[in-house]
Amino acid sequence: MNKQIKAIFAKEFYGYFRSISAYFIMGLYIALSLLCCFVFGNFFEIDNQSMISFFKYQPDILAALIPGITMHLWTDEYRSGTIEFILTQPIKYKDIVIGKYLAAAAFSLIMLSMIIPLVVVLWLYNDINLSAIISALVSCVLIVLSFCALGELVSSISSRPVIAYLGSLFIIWSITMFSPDVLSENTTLSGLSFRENYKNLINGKIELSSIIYYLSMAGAGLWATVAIISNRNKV
Amino acid sequence: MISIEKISKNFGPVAALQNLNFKINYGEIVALLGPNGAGKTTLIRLMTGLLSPDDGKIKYDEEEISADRVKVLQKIGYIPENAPLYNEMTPYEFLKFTSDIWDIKDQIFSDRLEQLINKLDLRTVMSRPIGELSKGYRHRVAIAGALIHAPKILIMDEPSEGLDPNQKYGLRKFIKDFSTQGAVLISTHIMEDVEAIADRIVMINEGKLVADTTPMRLKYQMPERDLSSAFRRITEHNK
Repeated sequence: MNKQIKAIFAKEFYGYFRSISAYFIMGLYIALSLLCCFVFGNFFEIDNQSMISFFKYQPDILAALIPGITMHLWTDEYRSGTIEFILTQPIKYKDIVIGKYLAAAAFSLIMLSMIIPLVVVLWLYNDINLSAIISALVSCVLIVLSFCALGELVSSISSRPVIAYLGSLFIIWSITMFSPDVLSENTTLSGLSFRENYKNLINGKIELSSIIYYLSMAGAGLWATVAIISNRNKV
Repeated sequence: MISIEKISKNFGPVAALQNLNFKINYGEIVALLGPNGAGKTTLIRLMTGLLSPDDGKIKYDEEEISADRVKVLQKIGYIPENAPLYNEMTPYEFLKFTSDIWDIKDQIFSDRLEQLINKLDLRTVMSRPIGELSKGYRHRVAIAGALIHAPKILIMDEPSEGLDPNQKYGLRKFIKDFSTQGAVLISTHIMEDVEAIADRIVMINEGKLVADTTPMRLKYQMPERDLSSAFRRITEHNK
């Protein structure tokens, strides 16, 4: 990572901790995760060796919260006028986009790491299927990486955080709900289904195709953000 | 030397700038004048790579900004209108952040920081959030940010807007000092500033260059012998 990306990363990452909303999002994540796991997920009634009742709801919880983490990435620059400052510094647009993305992803991963104590407690008092849990955690990390890129993309389009939040929520939710096998019986298309890929991972099947699926979503989001920021310059 | 060569820029059907040509030499302070909507900010945005021209070239020492934006920006210190800054940062954090973007070594940063703190009288506010600072201090922090990499060219959009007379005096002195080692372009419509510091005036109206001369010459071309009247006559005549 070059010094310029590090500078952007540090500014954005420490910026999260200056605001109370970051702590609120973390608290909300824990509360929603526990609520979904123990109340809706019937944690005590089903076999939870792989914490299925916990991981089942993670895409929906992350889809709701990650737009809250990414919504300020570019909207604040537009609103405060600092976009003119940052885009006239001798730094490549892609480095600014990557620095901001890494900050949002790092913050989201810290939020995700809050579930580790729960895994440890279960480990101490139960038999758990560690490989399945690791696979599910990997899938959550991949989801975070892809959602952060999509959130940053939408944030780069609007100057209003609320629009950025709702726009990201809509796009992310549409992607998570998209299931080609509902439209067609062609099972080869199921590889494009978000839920199908997630199901494979939380069932302990770490497949390269699923990893590529999420990483290409992240890559496409970042590429489109760089294109938007560069083309604002050409207007 | 900065060369603006046949620059044109349109926003849809509106021609913001039309075939603009002029040069700025090192050691010169050039005032960019024009009524609101004349195209001053568009020109500055083109000069700083924020916009791309539809036609023409902008060169800094023969290097075109559209060919290598990152390289050319290393020569420029730019202070946008209203000096937008990160309010949650302290001046020290802002200057360190800027220095890291410029990839300046820590020792060089410390030396330059010390010089800028003394020159711009920032010592008392270095650890206060920028959002809590007065307009004058915010302006000085923005200037420090634009100078942290020791640029050869300084571009300022409406630099003395909202400053009190003492702050304006300090700013003019600073610009004068800077121009001994580099080139300065200030966009303004405060004639007092122009008269006090500018070596040359470039005036644009409705996107066209309508005057490129010295303040003295412009002043004495008019019967009233003052810049405000000259500004009024030229911009109204060209409507």
